Amino acid sequence: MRKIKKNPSLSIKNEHAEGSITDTSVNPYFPQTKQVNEYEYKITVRLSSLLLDSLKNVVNSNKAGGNFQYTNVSDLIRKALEAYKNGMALTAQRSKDQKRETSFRVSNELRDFYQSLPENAKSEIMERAVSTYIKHKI
Amino acid sequence: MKNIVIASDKGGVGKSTLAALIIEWMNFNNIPVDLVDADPIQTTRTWADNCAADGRIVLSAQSIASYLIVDTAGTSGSSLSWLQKANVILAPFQPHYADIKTVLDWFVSINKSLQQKTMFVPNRYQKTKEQKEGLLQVKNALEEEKAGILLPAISNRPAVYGSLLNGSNENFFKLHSDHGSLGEIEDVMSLLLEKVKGGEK
Repeated sequence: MRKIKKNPSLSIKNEHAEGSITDTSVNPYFPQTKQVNEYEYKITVRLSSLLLDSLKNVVNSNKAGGNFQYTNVSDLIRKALEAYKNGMALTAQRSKDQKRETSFRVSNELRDFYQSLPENAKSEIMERAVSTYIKHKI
Repeated sequence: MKNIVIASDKGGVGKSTLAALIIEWMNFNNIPVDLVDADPIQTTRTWADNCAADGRIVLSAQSIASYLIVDTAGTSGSSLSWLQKANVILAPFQPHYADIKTVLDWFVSINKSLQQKTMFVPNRYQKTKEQKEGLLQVKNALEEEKAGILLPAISNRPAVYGSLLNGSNENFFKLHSDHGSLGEIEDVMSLLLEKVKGGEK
């Protein structure tokens, strides 16, 4: 009797077995795809709705003019927190208008700084830091 | 290269029209000028492209341009980062309550150093009681702040300025040489350039 050759395409393999083509630890064509995210920690704050709109306008206007210094609103808020951490004095006051919740991601170091801020004044400090930053630092 | 930033937190005051007028005036006087259109709607860039499509290049390369005109969007905060780069800030407004309120609120919110660079251009001016009063209020507010300059007004002439942003193969001031618009803009430009050059000292 003729021996039936097994079709290799139908063979069932453990695709993730060690040494297989999808084993990313050994195959140079599949480098490690795990992203090393610098900004691991998410912070949520309540900021002035108008201030958030202004931040969006700053980013859009910069991009329209070919300036990609700030890629998004989170980037701008993060830079403001960094500036405050580095000693920026809060010259702007908190507004009394409507607030909106927003989230941004920060590095380990910046998270530690944020957590060291007084518990019930975090959002106020953030809003004043962002207002001061866009007024004086951008 | 000197940066002239046209800014206001309010839309519809004539920022793009003023940007195009300044570029036309500089072209008319053979001064090389370039444009950054920081308004996502890109009105001034579209005007420049329309002129180019009609066979007239209105902008020079940044490497040879003496002036860079930055046209910003009329939304809150959009001009902030451009103001820091400005040699002179131009703030057009119509002398009526809505514009004056917005433009003066914006003016008092910016740094003193930026206030010193700001020049206000009354646009679409009509000699009505309301608008005369409006100009007076702006003048008083600038005296109070001890900063800012009020430039001569550009009059309300929709038949002349209305079609400017369509773009044309002919320079605006050649096209409208008999309408007196050149004299109006020259009054504004002479004070503007004096301020830019004064900033060099």
